[in-house]
Amino acid sequence: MQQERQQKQPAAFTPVGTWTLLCLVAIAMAAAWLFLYFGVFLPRGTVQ
Amino acid sequence: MADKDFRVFVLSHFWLAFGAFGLACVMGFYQVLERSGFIEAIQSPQVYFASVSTHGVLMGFVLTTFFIMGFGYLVATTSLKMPIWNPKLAWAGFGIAVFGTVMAAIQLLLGKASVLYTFYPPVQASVFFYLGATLLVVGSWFWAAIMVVMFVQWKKAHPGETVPLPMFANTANAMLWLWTSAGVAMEVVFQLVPWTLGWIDTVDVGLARTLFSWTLHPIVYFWLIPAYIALYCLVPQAAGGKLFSHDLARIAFILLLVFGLPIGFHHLYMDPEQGKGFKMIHGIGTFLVALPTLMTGFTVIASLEKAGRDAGGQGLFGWIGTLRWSNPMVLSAILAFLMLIAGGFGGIVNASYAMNAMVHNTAWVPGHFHLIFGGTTVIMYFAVAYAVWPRLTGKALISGSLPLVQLWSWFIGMIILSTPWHILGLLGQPRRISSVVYNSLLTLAWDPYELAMIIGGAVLLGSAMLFLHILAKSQKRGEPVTEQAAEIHYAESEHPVVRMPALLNGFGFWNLVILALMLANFGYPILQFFLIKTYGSTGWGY
Repeated sequence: MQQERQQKQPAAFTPVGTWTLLCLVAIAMAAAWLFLYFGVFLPRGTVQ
Repeated sequence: MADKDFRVFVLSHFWLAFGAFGLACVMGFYQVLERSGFIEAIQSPQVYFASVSTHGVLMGFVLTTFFIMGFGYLVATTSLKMPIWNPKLAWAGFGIAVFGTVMAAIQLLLGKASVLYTFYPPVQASVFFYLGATLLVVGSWFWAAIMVVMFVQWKKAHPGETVPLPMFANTANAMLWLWTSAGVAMEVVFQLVPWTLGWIDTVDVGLARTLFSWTLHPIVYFWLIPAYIALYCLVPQAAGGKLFSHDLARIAFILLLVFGLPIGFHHLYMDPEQGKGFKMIHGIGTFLVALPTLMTGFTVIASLEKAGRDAGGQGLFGWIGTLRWSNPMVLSAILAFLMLIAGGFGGIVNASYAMNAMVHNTAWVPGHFHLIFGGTTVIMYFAVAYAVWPRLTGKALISGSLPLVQLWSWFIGMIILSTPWHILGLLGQPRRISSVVYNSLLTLAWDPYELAMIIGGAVLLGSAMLFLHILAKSQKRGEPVTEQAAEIHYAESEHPVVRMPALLNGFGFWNLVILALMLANFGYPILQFFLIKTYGSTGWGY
């Protein structure tokens, strides 16, 4: 049976605040990861 | 099952879950105190490991399983508007799970199962612990089967209609549980029980750890999906809005089901029994499964943004201030997301193959899982309990502000507890130790963090007791509420869907995909133990 989707027209709402918030979180996470990798992990060097 | 009986049935699950939770919190506080070494009189590795094992089992298996079963029955009956299929079977499942829990708990409290909640061999427990844990899982399979049957029955009775989102997610969780519990079931039935009974002399630790990894990661999603059901289906309604995207929600649950399963080897990065190639495949899958969590964050926050803007919020972030912060469900969602961000970051570090070596088996790891489980997941369990209590007891909550105090204190306590834990991990403190007193300059530097953790543990214990007090007192002395006022309302979608593609309305195809992925990711890694010479280990510890 052919499945058909019938949706009402979406309301005109763009979650710009959500996008901004999530972008800020992503940037903070990436920065924290880079800090941990280059600032903490690599300086510890190899296992002696 | 009459409504009164049904309420008793669900309340039985919830009280067992929350009773176990309260006991586990008391033990957690003792553990953080004992481990610090500040009070010599309570120093005891034997008691510590018995306690930490019981704490882990009560939190990870008992609280979760009984809460998920109770909430699952409630979701099924309220969203499908049909009674439980085969109530006798449902009660039987509950009874078997309770019997298994008691059997395992006795061994734990006697110190005959101090094997932590992961019970990795060659550490060995009494056979009654393994049998008890198995019965708990078997009891939960009754629940899973009933959920699947109700899902199928509803679809047959409503051809072409879209399964309500709460039940769709609930069934996804039941299927996830059936898939994921198979790994640990095989480990217990074919390895641990025969080994503990003396039918075989040694156990293949590599195979046991591989089978447990089958279960260990997806079980986190089994715990988390009820929290996601609340986020998608209860939070937008509580915020005075609607769900931003019904479609994204369904896709997220399917992705969790499909990609949550074949990725357990990130728990074995440092293990020698699996090759780097398979670890890399599981590692990629681990990053992939972050996608549904990101989708959940986006969809739920967008729903909140719409509600906040409808309430008058202006500007980029003005809608945050107009949210219903005094609503326990909305507040829990906000606090859960904050802890998910912090815990999620820790998870990305764990999943990074190289950096995993830095945090492996350190205090970082319990810090991480306490944030994700004790934080994000459990705070949503609180919110669900507050939301459904009037429906189950016929009584209103005793106070509007006490639940808010409880939720804030849980959040603050968890941050105070888990932040030092992460730092201690980076400072090199091992996990799974009963004492941190070594009288060296290195370990003396740990003391301030240990003190902070004790404060965090005390705040969490207070919060847990307050939670139990609110539920008990509301059930006993709350103002009676009408059935209509106590009814559970699920969020409507911003874009009502009339018809849904079959792939987003059922699980047949996705189970085949899971089968293929499980064969690809676990097939040879398990088969190799039967093709190559491996060495068994004798048991110790019990």
